[in-house]
Amino acid sequence: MRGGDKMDIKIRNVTKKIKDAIVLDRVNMELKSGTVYGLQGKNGSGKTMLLRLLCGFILPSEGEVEINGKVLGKEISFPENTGVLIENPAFLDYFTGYDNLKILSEIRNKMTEKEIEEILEKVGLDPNNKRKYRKYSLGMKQRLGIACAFMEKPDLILLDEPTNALDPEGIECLHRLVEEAKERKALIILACHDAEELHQMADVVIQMERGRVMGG
Amino acid sequence: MRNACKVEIKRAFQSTAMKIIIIIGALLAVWHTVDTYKSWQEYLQIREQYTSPLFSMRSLYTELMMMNGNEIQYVLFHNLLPLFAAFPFAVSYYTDRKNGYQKNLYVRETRKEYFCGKISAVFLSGGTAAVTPAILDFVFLSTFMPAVKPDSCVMNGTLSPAGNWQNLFYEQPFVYFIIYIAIYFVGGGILALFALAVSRWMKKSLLAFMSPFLLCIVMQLLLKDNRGFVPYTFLNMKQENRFQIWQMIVTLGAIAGVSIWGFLRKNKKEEIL
Repeated sequence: MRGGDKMDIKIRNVTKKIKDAIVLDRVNMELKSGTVYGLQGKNGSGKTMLLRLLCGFILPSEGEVEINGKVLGKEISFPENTGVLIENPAFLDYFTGYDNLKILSEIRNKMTEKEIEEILEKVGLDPNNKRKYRKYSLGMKQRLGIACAFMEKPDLILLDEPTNALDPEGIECLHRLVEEAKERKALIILACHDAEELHQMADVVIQMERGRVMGG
Repeated sequence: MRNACKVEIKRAFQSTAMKIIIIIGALLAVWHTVDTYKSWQEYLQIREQYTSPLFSMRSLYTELMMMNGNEIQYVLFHNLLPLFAAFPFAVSYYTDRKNGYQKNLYVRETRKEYFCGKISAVFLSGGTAAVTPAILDFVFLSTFMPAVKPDSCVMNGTLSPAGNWQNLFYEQPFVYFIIYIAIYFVGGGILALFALAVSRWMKKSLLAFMSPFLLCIVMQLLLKDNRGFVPYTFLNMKQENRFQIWQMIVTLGAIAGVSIWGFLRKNKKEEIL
């Protein structure tokens, strides 16, 4: 599994236990930029856990994750320049979609207002819509979550079931964003239960079962 | 770091909870203003009829909600101050974690930046919520009450004889008011930090929200012989009970220290599941 040179992830013999359950079991992988990796498996196979591990949201019980030569959880807490959509998107209820992205963009200050508007348009949302997030439909929330994951042109993008609640137009928007990110050599990892969608978007599909990588 | 603080402070001050608490504070101040206006009108009528020197001029500074111990608004303001302070943003760490919003933040900033931003925002929003009714009460009353120096012969609405900064209250009452606004602000902010720390350890947000109020009650009950260390003692412009300034500093410092330590202490490698 090899690609470009911007982001280099090595997962070495990672096992994760939560209470007594083994949720990731001796996972070994090398992931490179410019490639879209798809994680496929049943519910409970460890896809979401693996994504959480790569974000730094959880730490391995054994083994280590190295991102660009730095060990996650020791030398760095979270990988730099990452966009994530894990489980349900979460935003501030009493702000509009635009305001939600604006607040988050102010942390790193890498985006202009125009760029925020553009990313909203790319996911099919109206940047001038005054509706508050709490009144969004599931599909709109998902689109906003996708916009948030892609908005700062991250080098590492982790998407968990990104096609949930999306109509065909929304899925098409997602495909375009994935292509654009791949062209600029980002490393993209998506977990999706829809095999057809996964095979359309991913360059490499990795099968997972009971926390183990079965092949790819 | 600065951006992370700025974002958290923006979230705190633009939150619906902050707007609600400002409205409640304003309503409390309006209620007190209406009551004071009625009694002021009665006073003026009586003053027209009687010219005795015992009827000294009532002052804005003796009529403030924070000074009139006989009024319901005084009781509400002082007893509910810990809840006012905790309401806007003190349990935001708990809600960020519960609804998953933390994930959006952790991929953009370090834990240190997030925690510093959270502490700053909770302190500032808590302090602001605490002083809002007091400042609004002052502004509303000043539209019709004369801002004359308080008369030390008048018993109602003045400083207790054992109070600190006596000279200031009678000679420079506005300066005394500002000092106390600063004390309310810092005290409110620190009590909000206590709620923030509790929210990191508790799974119930209501308990975290109530914790500064409960802390003040418990301290009041346990420190009967050392009232100077009780927040309700020094967070009181009227200074009904005696306290030394160093006692206030030690108490606020201890609560702040325990709160910040408690908030940061929990395993810094806490997982987000």
